[in-house]
This record gives sequence, C-alpha cells and structure tokens, in this order.
Amino acid sequence: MGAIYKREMRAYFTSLISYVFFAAFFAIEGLMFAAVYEAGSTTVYAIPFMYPLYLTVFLIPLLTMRTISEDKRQKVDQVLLTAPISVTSLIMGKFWACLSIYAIANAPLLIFQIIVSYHASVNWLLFLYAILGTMLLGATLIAIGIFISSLTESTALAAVLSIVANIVIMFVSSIFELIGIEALTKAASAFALLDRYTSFSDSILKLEDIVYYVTVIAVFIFLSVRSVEKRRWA
Amino acid sequence: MIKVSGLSKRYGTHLAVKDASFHISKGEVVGFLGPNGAGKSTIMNILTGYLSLTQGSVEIDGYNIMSDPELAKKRIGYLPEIPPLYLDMTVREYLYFIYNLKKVRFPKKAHIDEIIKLVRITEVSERLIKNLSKGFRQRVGIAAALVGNPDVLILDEPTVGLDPKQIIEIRDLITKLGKNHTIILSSHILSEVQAVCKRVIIINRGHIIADDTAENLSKNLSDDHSLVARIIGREDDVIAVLNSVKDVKSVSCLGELETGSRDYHIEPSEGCDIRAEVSKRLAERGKVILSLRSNELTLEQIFLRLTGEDDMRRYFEAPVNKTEESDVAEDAAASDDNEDKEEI
Repeated sequence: MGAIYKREMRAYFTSLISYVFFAAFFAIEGLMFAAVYEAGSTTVYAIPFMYPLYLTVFLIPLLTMRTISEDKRQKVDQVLLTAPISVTSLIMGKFWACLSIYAIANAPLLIFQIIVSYHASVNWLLFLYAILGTMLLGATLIAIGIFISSLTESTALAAVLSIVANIVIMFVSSIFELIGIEALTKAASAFALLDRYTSFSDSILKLEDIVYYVTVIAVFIFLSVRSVEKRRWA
Repeated sequence: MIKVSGLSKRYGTHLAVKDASFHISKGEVVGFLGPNGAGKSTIMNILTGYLSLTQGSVEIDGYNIMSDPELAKKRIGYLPEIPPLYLDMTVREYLYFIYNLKKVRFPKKAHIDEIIKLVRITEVSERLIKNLSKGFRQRVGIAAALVGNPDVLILDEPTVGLDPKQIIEIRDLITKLGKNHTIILSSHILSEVQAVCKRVIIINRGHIIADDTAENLSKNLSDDHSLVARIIGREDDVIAVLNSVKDVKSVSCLGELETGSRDYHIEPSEGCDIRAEVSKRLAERGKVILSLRSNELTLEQIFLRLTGEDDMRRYFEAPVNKTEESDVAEDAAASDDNEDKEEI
C-alpha cells in the first residue's frame, strides 16, 4: 500500500491536475474567508459548507478519474496485479493518496481559523466537526470516483460519470423537492449525502451520520476491489 | 518449480486454454511457441496471477497461485507483452517503485544499481521512461522483472519490436539469466526459441501439442532422410542420373532457385545414406553439385507440421521465390505457386 500511495502522490504532484485542484479550492476558500473576515464574523468553520461544496462535486472526479482507468489503459495494471500485494491494498493506496490531496486542498481552512483565533475566541470543536464532515464527504465522493474509474478504461468517461453520480447522490433530495414529490424527497434525504452533511454544519455530531459515510465509503471500496478482481475472471 | 496441471481458461464461450499440463524444473529455460492467439499470453497471465483459471491448478515453488497468491507472486518476475511502465517516472524511480511494491528486502540502492548494470540501462537511468526508445523500454521491463531476484522469470515475447542488434543483446541477456533462473519465454519467432531455449512447448489453439527439446522434436518428426541438391545440368539428364543411383526411391525437381541450376528433392530407400553415391555418380556424368543438404526439419517446419497450417507448410517446404521466367518448373511445387504468392 505504501508503494502505491507514494507513487500516486508523486503522480499528482508531477501532473497539472493537482495544481488545478489546489488553485480552485484555495481561490474559493480565500474569497469566502475574505468575505467572512470582512464581515467581522468568526464562523470560519462554516466556509466548507458554502461554495466549496459545489466545487467538490466537480473537482473530486478530476482526482479520481485516472486512478484505475489509466493503469488499465496503459496496461500498468499487469505489474500491479502480478505484484505480491492484495487488490485491497492497491485500492486503499490510491484512496489515501486522493484523500491526502483533498486534505491539502482544505488545509487553508486551518490557517484561516488560526488567523481568526488571534482576534476572537473561536469554537474549535465546531471547527473540528466541520473538518470531519468535510473529510468524510470528500472520502465518500473519492470512493465513488475510484469505483467508477475501475469500470472504464477512459479517463474522460470516468470523470463525466463521476460528476453525474456525485450530483445525483448529493442533491437527490433537492431534485425531488424541486419536482415536488414529498414522499420521495423524504426518502431520498435519508441517503442524500448533502442532507447528512448539513447536520455537521448544524454543529450536531450524530453517530448515524458518521456510520452512514463510513459505510458508503466501505461499500464503494469493496465494489472497486471486486470490479478490479472481476477482470481476472472475465 | 512450476507445476501446471489440467489448466483450462474460458472466456465466455471461447475456450482459450484447454487442459494444459506441464512441469518445469528449477533452472530450465523453456520456450512457449505458437502462432498469435494460440494462448501463450493467456497461460503466462495465469501463471503470474494476472488472470484467474477456469479449471486446473498452478503451483509456483509449491505455492498455489489461487490460494497463496502473494507467496507465489513473490517468486515470479513477469515481463508482459507490452512492458507495463509508468511513463512519467524516470527509470530509477520506476525501479524503486517496483522495489517497494514487491517489498524486497535487499539493500535498495545496491540491488537496483546491480540490475541497471546487468540489463545495461545505466546511461538512461535518470531519464523519463516516456522519452526512451522501444528497446530501452523493453529492458526497463526486464529490469523490473528482475527486481527482488525472483527464481522464476516469465517473459512474454521479450524481443518483439526490437531491431536485430537489440534482439541479439536481449537474447544474450536471457541466456545469461538462464544460468541462475528458471525462465519461460514466449515467442512466435522460432529461431529465437531455438537460440535461447533447450525445451520447447508448442501451443496451438489453446492446446499443448508438443513438449520436448528442440533436437528431439526435429529428430522425431523428420521421418525422412531425404536430400535437397542444387545441380547444374538439364533436368531430364540429372533426374536420369539420380534415378540410376542405388537406393534412390524417388526424385523430383523443385524448380530453378538459382539461374542455371535446379533443385532436386531426392528420397532414399528406408534407412540408407546415399550422399556419397549421389555425389560420385553426378561427378562422373559431369553434373556439378552446387549444394547438397539433408532435408531435416527445421523448427519452422516442425511447428507448421504440428500446428497443421497446411498452406503455410507448403510455402515452407516448396521453394517459392522463383523468378517469373522459370515457368519450366512444372512440378508439384509450381502448382502451389499462386497460393503462395498471395500469402506473401
């Protein structure tokens, strides 16, 4: 897993993708912080629940699109799958690498919080909730993206499918709400990622939300492993 | 070292490998030979654990590839048909990655340096793989297979796409590696297998159709001890002379391969050596022999005979590079002429 993680991190930092990713996140987080700071507010923790959220839906597929499809296309999977490591540690190596990049993209939030803490007392617990929620949400979208990447050899197709999947899973309840079907809205909000996410922003740490996220992550990691292994049986 | 029994692989309704069994002992260098699509790569991919098997079992050094994949894979160095390389890494970075991936325990730098020296990629070791030529990429692939010094090397068409000089270098390297590794290599180039491997396994349409040393294959299959001679002189005269030799069973003209001479296929009676007599008799009658060779099967012919590619067989057995003016040659060989030309 360590070898895969190192190789993936290296690949991110030697390609344009991660820099585009960072630039987009840093810019919007910076803008949000400027606005919050200007207004004299100390609610830095609320930043990730604003616009960066929408960015995440579109940008995480950038990170995950090439994870498995690219290896398959370049036939590098032959070296990975004939190496003495399990498919699970292969997938996990890639998963942690994506998550690390996502964490770095969100690192400015910590800096902002520290800056604010010089002027006013801040609630670090709230901040921690927000970061936890943000990370769990990102990890879920990454797991979904890796799974989609394992289905195709085309990185572009993986990106497009991931974006569609992200939009659906994030906003499914809002979509039903828009259409005006109440029963479906209610049902969908049980599994829509956004609805789970907002409970973090309400500063309520609910175990069920964490369990929900971790379960979704585990399911998609498992599906990715099966999807890679399936090719051996084809 | 490698024990394969009753191996079958099914892709949907297509049976790619049918009931293949063989045993390779430590230190052997074995060649898989077969036309494209015969199942060579499939077998190799199964041996290395890249593909699963439908039936049968594969054991590497006593470890089953399906139930103990990690232990079995640790003993194998694999070079797939297309070397699996990360193009955005330098050669050294890539080899370090493979080193970490295989969880090798040797001292890192010394081990990689040794391999780099062995496969002679020192001068490109700091360059990005995407900027390397095909020959160097192939060598980086071999280097990657050697990382961790596995006992078994499985090389899928290691010389495909290389220029003649590189082919010789890679062959020499394989011969060198063969001294302390068990090697399986595949090829559809027969001379290559002949040059490097002692034992040949011929595969066609998923079946193992022969498994023996190259010499034995050639001995067992070349049932005839016939000769091919290139002789100057009128065809009728020469045939008459040859027929007059004792123990000659039949003579046929193969046509004009070299201007002014004709080639003849001379078949002796069972178990007779007629070379001396043929040469003496022709000399007496003033017929000049340009060449005389026994018609032992080359690996090419064995291969075609075994794989039953009839048209191809005729192409190899009958001379075809006749010039247009040699329309005198109206024998059996000529009748295949049109077909053969189309194939070329």
